[in-house]
Amino acid sequence: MNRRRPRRDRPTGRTGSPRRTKRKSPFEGPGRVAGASGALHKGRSSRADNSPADRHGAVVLLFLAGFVCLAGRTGYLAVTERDFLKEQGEARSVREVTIPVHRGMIFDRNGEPLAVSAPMGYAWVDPQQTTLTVSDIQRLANVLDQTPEVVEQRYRSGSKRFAYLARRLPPNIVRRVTEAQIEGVRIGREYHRFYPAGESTAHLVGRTNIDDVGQEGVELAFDEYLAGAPGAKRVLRDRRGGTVKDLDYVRDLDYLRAPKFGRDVDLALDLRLQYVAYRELKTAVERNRATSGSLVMLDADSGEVLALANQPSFNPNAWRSRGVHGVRNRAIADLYEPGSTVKPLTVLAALESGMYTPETEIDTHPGFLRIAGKTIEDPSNRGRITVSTALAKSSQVAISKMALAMPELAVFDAFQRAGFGDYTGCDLPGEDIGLLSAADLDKPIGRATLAYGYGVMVTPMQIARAYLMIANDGIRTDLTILRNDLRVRASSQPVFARRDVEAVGEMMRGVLALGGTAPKARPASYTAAGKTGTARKVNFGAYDERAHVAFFAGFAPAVEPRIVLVVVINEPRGAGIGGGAVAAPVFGAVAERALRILGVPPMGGSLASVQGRRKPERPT
Amino acid sequence: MLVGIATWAGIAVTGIQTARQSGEMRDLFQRLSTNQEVQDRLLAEYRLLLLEQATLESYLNIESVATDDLNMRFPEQVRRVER
Repeated sequence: MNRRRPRRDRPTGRTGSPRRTKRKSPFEGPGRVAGASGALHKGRSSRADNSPADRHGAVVLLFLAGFVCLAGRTGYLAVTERDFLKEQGEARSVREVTIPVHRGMIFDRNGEPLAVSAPMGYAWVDPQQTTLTVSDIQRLANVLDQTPEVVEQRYRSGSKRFAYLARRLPPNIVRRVTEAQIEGVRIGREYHRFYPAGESTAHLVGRTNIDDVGQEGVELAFDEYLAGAPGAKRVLRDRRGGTVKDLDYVRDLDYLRAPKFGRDVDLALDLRLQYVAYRELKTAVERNRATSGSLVMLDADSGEVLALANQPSFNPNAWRSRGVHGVRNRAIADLYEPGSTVKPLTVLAALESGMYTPETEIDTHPGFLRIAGKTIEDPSNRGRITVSTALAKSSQVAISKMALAMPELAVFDAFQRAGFGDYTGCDLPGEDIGLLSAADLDKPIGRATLAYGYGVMVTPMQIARAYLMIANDGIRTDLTILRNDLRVRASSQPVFARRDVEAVGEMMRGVLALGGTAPKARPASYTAAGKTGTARKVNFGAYDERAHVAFFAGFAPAVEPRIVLVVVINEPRGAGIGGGAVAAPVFGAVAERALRILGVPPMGGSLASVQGRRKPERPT
Repeated sequence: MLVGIATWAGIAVTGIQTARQSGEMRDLFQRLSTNQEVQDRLLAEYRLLLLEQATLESYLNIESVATDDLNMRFPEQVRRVER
């Protein structure tokens, strides 16, 4: 109807009103000529208004008006609805995609990988879209090497739109799942952490959880650095879903979300030394039927942690199935009364006071000392001995007498300067600062017991730092687990006079000599200096005569030391319980092999002692 | 007149070139995407190989192979030989 209507009004010469005006009306008469003439005049005027040119003009006007309307509307939308329209347009062709990043690797000082993230698969379903039948679950269980109950439980326990069926799938299992072609079961890829050195480096390197988030050790301490952060970008997709163009990284509140790739961490740890340390410590703990043990090895020059081992340990690759027993890093988290290992510091304080020299004689007769109703005793009556001998023989009486002769705070101050009661700087999570208190120093018994290592609590790492200071001629340095850590040099500061420290180092060589308390600590081919320690443990508020901690701390070689080593064996139950019998042999064995690995030439003339070295035992 | 024709011709050529360059850019982008995928795959494979190598080279594994498979033992005596 509408289409036909214009035909009737078509402004042509053949049809329409102009032709009809020529028709003679049956009512037309002479008296009406004038009227007719007026009518005719009127008809001409109407013909002039409806001429083709006018109509053409009208149509053009209409079109122009239409264009103006459209332009106006376009302008209106472009100005007022711009964001909305842009959003709608982009929603149909622009997609936001995540740029995945994977965790950086951890290396030892020689570039050996200690933690690697490798791609693994995971199988998942969308429970809203997929219904797994009993047969599907059975087939899945077969290819995943799991029971159907486990698969079904995972299928039921997921969210509405996502349920993991299995994670950490190696490539061969992923292939089997893909080949099974079970409808709705999809495969995704994620990175998981692996530790090639296994439990030998577990406490230092740490572990991550199933979502690759650091939980212990370096993995936790450097989690943000290692993990990075996934980015996002906008891409233009074509109708087939393929990416056509990168538009930009997505701006989120004016913040560019470029991906931050996980960075690698280079540790100071030497995997070769670490394995030697781990192996010898494990053997010693098993041989002595001890509860636990720790070993710390430092670079004597830089303060870098070359090895750190604990027993019991754990396998970071299998902690999910075997639990977290042995996870605690005892070298930094367990506190012990250090016993005689602090005596070199007491002697340092004595030399510093000017009241003693290495040759000063102290009367230890009759082999014991009674203070405020408590008895401090040596194993035998040694009579008059020099300060050097007191250290070599680890005389409690001599050390107590020296402490009592010095100012109240002298020993406490020496311990504090050596780093007790403070962080070591290694930045490992869970480090304890120990306990160093001046509360009992106004009492003679408090000063005496502190001098031989009771009434103070330290970690093995703190002992290592104190001995590092002795090996470094009195310069205290922060420890570091990183290679080439510039902070270490900046933290170095002299805390004791070099002359006094050298004298104490010389005295400590006597500990390893025949007649000292730890000849077993001497490496077969090298010189060394150190000190034993045997401390009773506190159980139920009192010292337990049957529970001990055995220590040996020292450095090797004795001149120009390369390594500082601390060995702690907790509650040994073998034939020997003292530091000289239990911890010293570990020191000797580890120092010998470590110095060989480091390329330190053996001492000349020590070949005889090299002969007949014990055969290393293999840990079970 | 000539200027007009030249202008229109210029616009037409520019338009064609723009379209061509756009198409070429898309091709290059697809090649880049493909190469990035290959790079990702190779990096993943590298990590797996690195892991395998490190596991095989680990001292625990070497000692286990030496003692269990090769029946090797630590020497009873340690000697230094000088020539």
